[in-house]
Amino acid sequence: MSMIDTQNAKQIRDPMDVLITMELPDEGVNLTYSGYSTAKVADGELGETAWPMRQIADLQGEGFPLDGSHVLYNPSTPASAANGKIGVRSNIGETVTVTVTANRSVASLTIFATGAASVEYNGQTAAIVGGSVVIPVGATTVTLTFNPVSETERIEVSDITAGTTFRITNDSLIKAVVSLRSDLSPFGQTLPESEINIDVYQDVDISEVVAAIPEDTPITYQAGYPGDMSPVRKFYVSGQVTWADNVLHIQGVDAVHFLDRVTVNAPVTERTSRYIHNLPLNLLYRAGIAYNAALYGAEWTTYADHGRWVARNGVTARDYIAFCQNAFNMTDERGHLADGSGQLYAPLKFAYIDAGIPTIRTRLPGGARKTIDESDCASVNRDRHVPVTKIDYTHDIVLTGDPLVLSYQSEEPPKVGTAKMMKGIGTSLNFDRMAYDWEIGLDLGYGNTGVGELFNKYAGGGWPYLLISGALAIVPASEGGAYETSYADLPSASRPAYAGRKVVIGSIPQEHYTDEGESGNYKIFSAFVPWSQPYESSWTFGTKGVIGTADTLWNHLIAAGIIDSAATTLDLDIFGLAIETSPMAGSVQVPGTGQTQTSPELPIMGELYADDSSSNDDIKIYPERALAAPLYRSNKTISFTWKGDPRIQPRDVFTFRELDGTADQWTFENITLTHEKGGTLAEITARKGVI
Amino acid sequence: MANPYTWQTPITSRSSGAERMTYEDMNRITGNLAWLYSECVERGISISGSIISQTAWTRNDIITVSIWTELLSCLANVCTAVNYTPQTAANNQMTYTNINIVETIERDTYEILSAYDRQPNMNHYVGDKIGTDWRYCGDDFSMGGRYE
Repeated sequence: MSMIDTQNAKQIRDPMDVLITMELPDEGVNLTYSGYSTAKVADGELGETAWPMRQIADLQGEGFPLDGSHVLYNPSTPASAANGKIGVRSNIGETVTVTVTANRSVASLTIFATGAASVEYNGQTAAIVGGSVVIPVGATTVTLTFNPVSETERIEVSDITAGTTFRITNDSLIKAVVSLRSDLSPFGQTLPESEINIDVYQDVDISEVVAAIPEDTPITYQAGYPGDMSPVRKFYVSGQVTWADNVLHIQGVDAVHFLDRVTVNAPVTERTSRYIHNLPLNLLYRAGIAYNAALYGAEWTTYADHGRWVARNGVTARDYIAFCQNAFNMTDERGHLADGSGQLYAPLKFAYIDAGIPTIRTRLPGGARKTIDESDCASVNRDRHVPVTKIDYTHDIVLTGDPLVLSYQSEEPPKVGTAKMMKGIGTSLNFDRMAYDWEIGLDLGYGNTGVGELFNKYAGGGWPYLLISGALAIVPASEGGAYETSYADLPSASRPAYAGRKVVIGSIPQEHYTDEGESGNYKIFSAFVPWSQPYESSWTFGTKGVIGTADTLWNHLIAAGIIDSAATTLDLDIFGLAIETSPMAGSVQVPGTGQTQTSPELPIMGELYADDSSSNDDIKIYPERALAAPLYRSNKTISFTWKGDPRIQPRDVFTFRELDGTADQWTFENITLTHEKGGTLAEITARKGVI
Repeated sequence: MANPYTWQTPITSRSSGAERMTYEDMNRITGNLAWLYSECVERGISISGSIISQTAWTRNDIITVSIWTELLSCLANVCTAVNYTPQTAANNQMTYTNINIVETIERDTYEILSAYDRQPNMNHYVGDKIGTDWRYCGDDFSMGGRYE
């Protein structure tokens, strides 16, 4: 078991080490060091910050460990990266002085020293907390006098450099909040910035010094335990570094920040035989982002076979990549590309994860990296987000004369679609294997009773029903409970015995249905399609009572109708989703392609077919399949707090074991780590499924 | 003239690198070495070199290559003086095993010298167990022993 796992398993964990650096060296300044003749030992090597301090057989304090790490002191050994350096080391309990001279005036010096409580300079005294301090200088020379921490320890000055460098450890850290973010939401997905916010104790007024720290100054962060530190995450100063009331505040964001500065500045056409992720990778390159490609291409065995797609001019790299990783995120058979024989393989996947360690993934993450028990969590909240979303066919991009593009947008009011149901004419919507947990609200009005009556038995009629695929629950009126059953239990014209029963879908919490209480009237005002219960089969209801003609989307059936009804119409209102179709509308010329489009909203225009052979079983993967891909993503999310550091990235998969023992795979969406007062707390949000 | 140094029981049982070397350790090691050297001189045993130069250590001290080299040289001289060849030689490594060796050699040498005091009371060929080995004082061992 690793050190981090061992610590995480403990009820009371050891304080986690946090190491944060922010470096802004004053380039071009040469420093020389002198005046340390009272030192116990010294080589005056204070400018080579990368060279370690040599561990010598020093008897200060409680001596040194006899593990071979310390060597006999030999003043003849030259300082080097391999040998280390001596720096300036005082007699125990005594002060030591170093005079620093620069070839030009320096605004600030950064000093690293252990065993020193403070440093005096220019009549000022600055506390050295956590082994370092930044002092304002504004001159070419300054004499530093270091004061010891104790009578038994030696001051060891290791580095004095021009500029501002913060090496922050637990000694000076007040609080660090690291928010590692992704966005796995099905619609309107963005590419969020991960962020770090740091508060550090600093008793020297360096407000003028930090005011000169520009944006994009690198920050590094890692946390863990000796011998088991996390990978280094890189952030960049994103706001003014401030100092007030002895607290230095630093905030930074990850490299996503840079993607806002790069735009598609000319329509970029990708034609045949190209990997779909060529352009997003090119944009990352243009933004100067070096990404971890360890997972790149691992299962990417084919490419877009043909088609033509156009990156929209003026789209930022950030928006473009966000779009790509949402659209080109296909799993199961829908994301597979044809292999020329009608078989499908190779998931189509593109994901950019930054979080301080830029990474490209072109395949689904492997198995769950961790198991988190709900019993170890606090503040567990489950949510099933139902956005008001509309998939609208009215915005067509046209290359071939066919409507190609779906777009989606928020829209009010919540009731976004209405299907008119008429006796003898059925309405159905198909959502085959859809992961998204749609909330379907039925608002079945009819005749003179008006809109608002749900599943209301009406005079002279049979029973309206709602069916989603084969999942159907029928609630006996006498019991008032819900149970699931198969479509064989459907009410039908030939089953009058079902009269007086509720017809509901799936397992419906009681608050979602009511008993009207009179004459066997019942009302259901919402229902759920459990995402974990996809049904492949498409069920066609009998002729009688089916209303409307199916508008099919991926073969998952939602049907509503009236059985043996004498009424003329019912309205089916759909909350959270509406699908509309419309004729292809006007067009706009796309430069360089000879193609046309309307609705300049999507970052990618055009169409894309996949096939790695010359056969004719091409699959058009964009736009329809790509844009419908989010429908296969769960809208169930969970948030909780966890004491410790799960040592994970956004988009990593974990197993969440609930209190009742149920265990499912979830994907981390956001992780906020808070280091404060020696403790570490993780606030986590996740989305169900492997994304 | 009595030996001006005080013998302290050596520590030879260090068992891990986590154990630390302190100024008290150095005081004991160098003090014992000086005691051994002085004892040889006191007994008229021929010994080369000179007594170790530093026997008083504080937290402010740093063990240098030169003082440690001198320490190993003095230790070798004492061993030679009492005709003792250690099974394992000490070196410059600051490890618990090496410091155990240094103090073991000092202990063994001390026991050899102590054997000289016991032998006058014996009537026959005698020997002593030094460490794990028996050391015999026979005709060839001219110093300290008495054969009647």
